[in-house]
Amino acid sequence: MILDLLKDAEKTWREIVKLAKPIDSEKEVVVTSQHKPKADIEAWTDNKKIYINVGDEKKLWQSFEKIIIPEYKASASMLYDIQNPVSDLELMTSLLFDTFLFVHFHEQLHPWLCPNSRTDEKKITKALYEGILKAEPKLSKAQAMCKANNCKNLVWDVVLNTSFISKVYSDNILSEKVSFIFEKEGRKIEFQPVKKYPLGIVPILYMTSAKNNTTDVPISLAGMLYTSMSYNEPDVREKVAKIFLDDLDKKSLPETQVLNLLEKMYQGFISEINPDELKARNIDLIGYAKKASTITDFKNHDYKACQEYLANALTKIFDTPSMRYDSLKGFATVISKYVSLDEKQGSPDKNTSSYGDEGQGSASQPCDKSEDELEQGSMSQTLDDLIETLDGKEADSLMGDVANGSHGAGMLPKKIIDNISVQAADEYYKKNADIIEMHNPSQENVSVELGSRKRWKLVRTRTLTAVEASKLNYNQILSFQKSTSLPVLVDVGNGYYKLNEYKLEETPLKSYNSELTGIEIPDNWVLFQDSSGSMASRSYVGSKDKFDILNRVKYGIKKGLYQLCKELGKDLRFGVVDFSDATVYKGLDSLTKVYESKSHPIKTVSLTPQCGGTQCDYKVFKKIEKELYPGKTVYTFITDGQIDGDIISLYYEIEQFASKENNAFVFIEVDSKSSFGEDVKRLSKANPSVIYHAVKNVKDIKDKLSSVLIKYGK
Amino acid sequence: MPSKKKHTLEKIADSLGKNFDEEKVHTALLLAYSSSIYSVISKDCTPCPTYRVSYDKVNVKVSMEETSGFSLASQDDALDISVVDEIFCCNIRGIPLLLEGETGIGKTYAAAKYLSTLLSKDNYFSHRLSANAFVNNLFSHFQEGKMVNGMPVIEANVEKIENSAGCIEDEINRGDPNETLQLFDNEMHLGGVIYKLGIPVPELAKGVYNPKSGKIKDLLIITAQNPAGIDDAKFTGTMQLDAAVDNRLLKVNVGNSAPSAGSTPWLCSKNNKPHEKFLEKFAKKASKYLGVEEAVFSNLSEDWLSTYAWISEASRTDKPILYSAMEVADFMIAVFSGNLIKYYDYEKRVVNDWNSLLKNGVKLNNSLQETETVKKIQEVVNSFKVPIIFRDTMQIKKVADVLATLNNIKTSLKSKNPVDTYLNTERYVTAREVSEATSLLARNKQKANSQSPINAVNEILAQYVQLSREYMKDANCLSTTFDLLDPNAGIKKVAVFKALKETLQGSKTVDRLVKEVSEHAKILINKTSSSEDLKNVLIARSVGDLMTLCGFLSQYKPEIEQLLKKHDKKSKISQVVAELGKFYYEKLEEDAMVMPDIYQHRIQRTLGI
Repeated sequence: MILDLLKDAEKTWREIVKLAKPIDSEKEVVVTSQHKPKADIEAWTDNKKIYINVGDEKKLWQSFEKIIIPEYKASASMLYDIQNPVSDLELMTSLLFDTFLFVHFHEQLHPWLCPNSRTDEKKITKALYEGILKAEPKLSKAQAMCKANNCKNLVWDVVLNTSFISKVYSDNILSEKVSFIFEKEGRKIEFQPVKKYPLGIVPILYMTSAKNNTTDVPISLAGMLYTSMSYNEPDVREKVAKIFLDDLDKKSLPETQVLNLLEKMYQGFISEINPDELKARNIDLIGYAKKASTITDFKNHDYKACQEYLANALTKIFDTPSMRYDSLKGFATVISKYVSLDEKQGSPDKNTSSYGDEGQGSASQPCDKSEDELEQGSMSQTLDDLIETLDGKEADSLMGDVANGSHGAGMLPKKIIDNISVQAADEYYKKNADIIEMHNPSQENVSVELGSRKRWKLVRTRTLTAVEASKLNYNQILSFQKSTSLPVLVDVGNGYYKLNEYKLEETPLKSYNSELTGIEIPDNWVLFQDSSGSMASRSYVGSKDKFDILNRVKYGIKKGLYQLCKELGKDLRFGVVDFSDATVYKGLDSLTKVYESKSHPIKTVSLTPQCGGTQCDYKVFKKIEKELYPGKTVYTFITDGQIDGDIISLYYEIEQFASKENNAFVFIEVDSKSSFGEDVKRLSKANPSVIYHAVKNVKDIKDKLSSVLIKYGK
Repeated sequence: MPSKKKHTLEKIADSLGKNFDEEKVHTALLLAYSSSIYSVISKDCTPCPTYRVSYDKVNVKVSMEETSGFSLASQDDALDISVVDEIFCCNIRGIPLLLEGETGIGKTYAAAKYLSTLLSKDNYFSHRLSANAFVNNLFSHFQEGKMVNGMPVIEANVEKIENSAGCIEDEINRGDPNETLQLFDNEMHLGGVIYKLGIPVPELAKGVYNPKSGKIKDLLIITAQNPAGIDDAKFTGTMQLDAAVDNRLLKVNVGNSAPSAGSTPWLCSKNNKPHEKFLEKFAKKASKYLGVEEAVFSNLSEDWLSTYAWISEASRTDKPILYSAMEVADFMIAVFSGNLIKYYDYEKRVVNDWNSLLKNGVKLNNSLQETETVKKIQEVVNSFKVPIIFRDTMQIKKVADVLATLNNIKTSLKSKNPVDTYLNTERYVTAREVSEATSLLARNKQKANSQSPINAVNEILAQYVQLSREYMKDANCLSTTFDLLDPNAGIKKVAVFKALKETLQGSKTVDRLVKEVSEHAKILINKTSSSEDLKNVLIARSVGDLMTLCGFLSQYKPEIEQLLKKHDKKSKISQVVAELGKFYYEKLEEDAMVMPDIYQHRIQRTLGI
């Protein structure tokens, strides 16, 4: 029954879309009922398809039966704008159908209304971040980022649901087409025609969540907001509002405070907008404020006019580029306090991906990413968006804050915190590290095989009379003869002519190509870095301590090598061994891949100092060796003090490594001279493949390393 | 002295005497011509449906379904188009036709039936191109050749040119692209001379017959080919048509109608002498529609070629285009012409550059983002083998005319009094035909297996109608809602009209007019949306046009002010617009070399002149 209704709703939705938004009319809907979701119904979109999953039909039916019907029963005729009373079963099926219709529209509207492009998404994130910081200036930037991330889906939905309410209930193409299709399909309830989309559908899924205790404060506040926009009858309005008020009361928000917040939410939407902009769009600041104050008086006789005005005004504001983001910033200042630092504040479709994300579901497995992975992806996107949209100093400050772990998001899984810190540190150094200087490589021509070439081969000769010959296509013949120098028409005398026909045969074709030469990079590069307490602190990003400078050096070289790889069309295997209390190594991978990826285990190793002792486990050499590509390999070892542990074995491994052809080992001591360093220095005198450098400060490493990693021909 | 034999058209005029009405005579003959040709052909071959186009008036939505040979249950308001319809349309509108489809589905058969019914065998020819490029000469029918001292000497046969009204060029993709281009341009270049292909069109102005009006009825060119295998195989035989050739013709993918028609073709009778039967039927119907004796047509066989040229001369079915249809066409061309974001940026630059010059505060600040709508439109554009080019814009008009004419003729022939019905029908090209024509043209331009452009076309149409409705309601001028057949509908039309009205009620100065037009541009800019990209493109384009008009008005301020001063608030605004148009054309004639290109691109369409 439920799935049949869902299919019917899809059919009706598609008919409406064909008329109201033709370009979306072939959007695929994937319906599943394969696993049991937390909510009664799950829906999300990857912008290309809509995914709907009803895990437990019975539970959904019961939710409607026990929660929705009792609230809506008395007002059903008003909501559906009909005369006669409606039976429970008829009301159930109609409300389910209309809820499913809403779910389809909701997912369809996401890429259309909010966020409608990557740029839009970025601007919204920035607006929320700024709103949150304005409302709570004591928050760290990282905390504000977490909150912006955690409320962005909710805010997208606020924009979308408000616009849907406005579009479907006012004089708009959507309401017009809904009515047209309802009439065309002969939609009825208790034998009476349903002419319009019924009131009160949007809050339904929020109501079931509130009753089933699966909401948080912002969701229930959003439920209150939609309630204030959705009913034409005071009793049902009050009843539904009570569900959210009770829920919020349990969350320590008393009724008076909630009603005050409801008004503030409406006021917040316009609080950051330039009044001239509002005026230019015929939105009267005083009139709006008056209507917003009426909205908490559910029995007010002007309520319907107020709710229509507010929904329409907000839709206009959200749809006007010059007001959209300021409006959401204002809204964020109101809800900021209630947004969790720890988890996403959701909506029925909290899995809906960021704009342009290639989907988080498939037909068989609606959502194949874990909650952590989704959380991770979302947070990472938020960080990226803020880095891109904030101005330089602000972005640096945020990156430093996040990378140094001062977000204090206690409940966030450690993995997410670690990853986001690494991502922030990575972005910071990519942006702030100075690239190593490189000489221009020279260019040389090299022979390459382009493929095959077609050559003409004589296949047939025909004899023609003069009249036959005169009617030939001389353009073709002349053009062919000219471009191939092959004879086509030949006078054989006595009024006869010979016509040669040719066909194409393939032969290999060689050519020359210009290649960059005179520059050489290794095939493998492994960086051993000391992240002991003397080298690094936990909050190293931007701190100018040794580890901070080491990272600037590392990124400067990596940037240079990355650019060179692109120019040469070559790649190298890259890995990091971080040693302190433990020796951490996560394998080798393509340098370009590591450099380009947002998160990578090698990056995590590279940017997560241990701040402990100084031990390096020699066994790591064997692990690395297995993963090296044939060719030239460079190991670089950077430390600032005596290495503890089994240094004899370590020395032996270095010696073994350096004795092999094409290998180079660079040992750099920073501002110290250890006995182990002395051993390596001696080794360097006996074996030119071992290079020893003692430098005064970390900055000096750059030249030493780059000269080994990048070789120039003469 | 023997009396000169009168031409059939002349005899018709004589018979009608004072009741002669050229348009009515043409309508009667066109309807007789259409119904007779179908009547004869239908005996020999079953129709091969290709498209069903329909228009939902209530929802302002076009549908285009590729029927691929399958006939569908009849539907009110739907125009079913078969291969014969396409040949007929191309015939009366002078568009070369390409029928593309698998071997054996009846492309050439239908074309041959049409020509053999319409024309006597001396007046058309059929030519099948060979896989050997050297022996393919598209113009061999019009040429005579001999070898003189081992050199080929080819001469044009002018008589044959003047007596050939149609041709079938089978396997056209084997032809030399240069020759194919000439053929589709209705020309043959030989020995430095350009020969126009086609037959002379007579005239019957006020009932006086003149065998040569100076106009030429283009050669009816029907070409056919199997789907091309390779893109480039110069000199080796079959290849895909050159893009330049492709743009000149109407291409139709012919489906296989065998499954739909089944064994019915067994029961079709063979028409011997189809042309004679056609002339008989034509004479009967024409005499009935005209109310003249059948004897008037006694020399029809002899006079047919010139009569045919008179009936089917393309300009006779040209239709005026409504302002709103022009705006829709303009919008469709802009959207389908390439990268939408770049296009928007171009319009933005136009608006902002004018603002720098005119300082009227009309600025576009936003950029178009890469939304799903933008991406979907881009997918359609990317499916085109070549982007929308100048020739396509002319094709849209031609095809729109074709569709309007076909619809008018079919609707008329369904009625009891076809001639009156046809004459009383409003024969405009509306947004409907423009949208349908754009759909067909876009389909024509796509690579194989591309997704239909119809959703994109409907989206563009829907956005246009929405903005027009919204704006016209706000402006509360001329018409307050959008109607397809309303000659007053149109965004810029209303803006210009209202601005002129306000100006004439006030100071009657150019400054005032520029201010008023600018205010309308600002109203449009205020409608810029965060969610409707196509609407934003339309706004940018409309504002770009209005600002260009402001630029034009400012540049010729003294002359235009004089023009405005001649009028007052009671003046007809349409008259003022016409005078502005006249002034523009005068200036264009005078200053063509120095007049900014942007005026030449935009003023005419903005004023609708």
